[in-house]
Amino acid sequence: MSVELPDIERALSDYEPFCWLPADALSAMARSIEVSYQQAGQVVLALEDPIHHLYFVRSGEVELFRRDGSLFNRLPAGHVFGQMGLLMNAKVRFPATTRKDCLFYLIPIQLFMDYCEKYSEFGDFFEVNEHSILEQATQVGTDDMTTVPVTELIKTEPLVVTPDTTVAECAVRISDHYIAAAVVQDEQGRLLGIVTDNDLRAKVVAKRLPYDTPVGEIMSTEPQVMDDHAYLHEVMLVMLRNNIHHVPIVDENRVLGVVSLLDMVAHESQNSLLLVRSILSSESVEALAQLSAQLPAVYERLVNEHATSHMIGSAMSVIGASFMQQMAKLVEEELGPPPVPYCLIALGSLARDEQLLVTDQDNALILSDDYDEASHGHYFEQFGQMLCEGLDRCGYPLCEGLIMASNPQWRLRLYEWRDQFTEWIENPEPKALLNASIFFDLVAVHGKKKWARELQQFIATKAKGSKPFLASLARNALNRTPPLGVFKNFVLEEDGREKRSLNIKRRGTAPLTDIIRVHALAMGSMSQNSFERLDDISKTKLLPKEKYEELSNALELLYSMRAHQQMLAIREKRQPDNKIAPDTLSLTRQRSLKEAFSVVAQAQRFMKYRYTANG
Amino acid sequence: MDNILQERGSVPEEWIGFQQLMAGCSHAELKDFYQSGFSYLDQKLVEAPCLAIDIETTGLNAERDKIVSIGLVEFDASRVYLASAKHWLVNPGELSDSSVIVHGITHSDVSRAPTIDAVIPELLRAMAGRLSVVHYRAMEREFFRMLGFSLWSQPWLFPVIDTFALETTCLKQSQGWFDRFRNKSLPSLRLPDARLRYHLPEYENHDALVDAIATAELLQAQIQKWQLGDRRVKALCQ
Repeated sequence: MSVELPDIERALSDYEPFCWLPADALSAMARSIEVSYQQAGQVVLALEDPIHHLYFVRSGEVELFRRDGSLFNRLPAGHVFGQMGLLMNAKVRFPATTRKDCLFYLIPIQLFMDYCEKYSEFGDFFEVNEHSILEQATQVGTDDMTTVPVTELIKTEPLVVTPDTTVAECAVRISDHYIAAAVVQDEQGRLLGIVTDNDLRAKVVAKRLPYDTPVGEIMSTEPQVMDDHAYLHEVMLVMLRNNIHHVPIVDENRVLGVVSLLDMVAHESQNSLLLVRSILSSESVEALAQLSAQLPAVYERLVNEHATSHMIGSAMSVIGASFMQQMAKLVEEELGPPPVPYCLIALGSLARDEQLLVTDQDNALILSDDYDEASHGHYFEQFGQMLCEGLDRCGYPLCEGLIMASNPQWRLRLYEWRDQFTEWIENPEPKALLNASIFFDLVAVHGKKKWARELQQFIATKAKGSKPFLASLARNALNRTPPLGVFKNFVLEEDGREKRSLNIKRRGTAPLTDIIRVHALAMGSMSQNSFERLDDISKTKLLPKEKYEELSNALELLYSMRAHQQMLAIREKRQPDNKIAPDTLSLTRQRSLKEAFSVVAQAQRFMKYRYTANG
Repeated sequence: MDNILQERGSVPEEWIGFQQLMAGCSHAELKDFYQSGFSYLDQKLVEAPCLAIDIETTGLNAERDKIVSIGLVEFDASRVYLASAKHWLVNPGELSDSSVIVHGITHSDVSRAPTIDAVIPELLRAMAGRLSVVHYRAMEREFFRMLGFSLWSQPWLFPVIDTFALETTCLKQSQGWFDRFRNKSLPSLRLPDARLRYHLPEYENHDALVDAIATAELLQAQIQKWQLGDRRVKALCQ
């Protein structure tokens, strides 16, 4: 006798992904369920606990939290959770707490895994949903002030002074720290008051108090504080209600930081467009450096907003170019107008519109043909130095290969650049070309932009017919192979975090963009972006149509995994890098990653025979 | 056999003694049931293995009406195990016209179903060693008592936790003294209404199995809300 549970089945089938299961599969699922009731305010899943079930919220509402304790998502009836833990290593990834009285249906892990394999729509839901959960998380988690804990806005330790600190000393320290308020504490660390830059103006300067007045005399005592569990909107309300602009956030009695009204506004305006506008109106290197601190948050948001890798790459490249452009302007202000015109160019990923997070600066200068070393050399030497150091301060580290405007080797007159490219193309030395391939992705950033376009045109025309050059470039593009073993298993490397991982940039996106560059140059394309280059290639007979689609899909997948991985690192407050440990990915993702790598491997094999020096 | 046990509503004064007495009875299947014991009586409610039971009958009179379906599900304070769910339609023999349809069960449904004596062995096995939980014990208790008489000529009695009675007690205790003094009436104690107080979802159907599951969920909620988990079963059951 097989028991029917139509009520349970119906409760499930009202929602995705259960509505896509065949009737008998759904019945079997219903019969395997364990039901569990939990009152509001209880822990359902604790971080790192073993997890053996997928949780379906039959009624009520749960809250999921991130590793750092911040709210990740709220799920009402009809939603599932626990899949990340089940798909990773059967340990809870997002701890869950009931926000209302809840009834859960618990679906056993074996059945869940089995159905993911057997019913592709069901399985895909959890793949796709990895993103859509993140998407929801950004909607409720970052856009909505009611769900963001105020601790997310605390970026620095509070500036602490004692009551006997002089107002002069306090003013100096406030301005040194680029913050607007200092916390006054006694020896025991008890919070006595708060001093803001406005207090210094209104209570000291305006009243002509001596500068050796102790801050204890002018501080606001018994300041309104909020505890670290408060949400942004609560802090906002307190600010509005009390007409204050700074609120110390405390954990027990310890001040964690001071949140200002400006922080709140800044939080609400973290998007790339605003950032670009702020960059282009920055008046100092310091201001630029401060803005660059927003980059990870902007990036996180972009990835979360379901942007394609092309969109992410473009946005990050525009931001990178804006930093360069504004830095060049500031340096010009400092040094005076340039003695001869120049063009600042970006090379590599920025030129390709494919910049992600972890990236060196790669830039160079095209100087006017009127450039005279003796009379102008000093200016551009200083210019290059200041530009590159400034960018370094903005989080674009100096290029180890010294492909930078600070290197005299890459400050060339326009005709010298033409000669240089002619040399590379006509006398291709694979070794020399290895470091030079980055110059074949170039874009103007500031100054005489048409010179950069002239060079692009020159390269496109010259490279097209040059078989030895293409062959050398092709050979170089085979140097880095995708990390797949004979049996299509991942070939992993040890990394510092005691995890075996693969470098998705070095073994994935980089070799693929190399391949695409060779094809693009071979057909005279002037595009710099890999997707646009693929588009150009698709218009020729170079590759069969399906090959072109395969390459395009593989590129998108590799880039978006890289971007996603970096976003997770930001979220978990780790240093983003390009490493991926495949066993942290779901089986389906691992499969897709292998597909993408094997597309790269095939494309490399194809290229080996396509471009030969005399063929 | 204590004659008093034949009376409606009566239960043994002391369950363990009754169990020991019945464990010596001559009907093998009933003997097994009682021999499996009532050891859960000394356990904390949070640890007790439970079985939610619901029956559908042709009417309210246990002496005249018959059981037409039985639903069961095993559970405990933290989980309801749907894999253990059982649901029988029972052929009551002759069926009066007035009860052609009981809770959506039609005459033709039950006429094809097994009779109660075919169901009993499995029912007894499922119940053995588990604390029975029902909503409104007056129904189940009298029907099972009568079933005992008709099958084995002795009352079939066992301890139950009654979520209805539990709800009454808990609600009364949570009432202020003034409401109690005024004898203010309690809100509805019907299963769906009691569930609503714990924000448990509504079920569309009300067959014996769904109501058994609903009862199990209700007890889980009551245990949490009224912190009954550490109470001994015997203090809570009847």
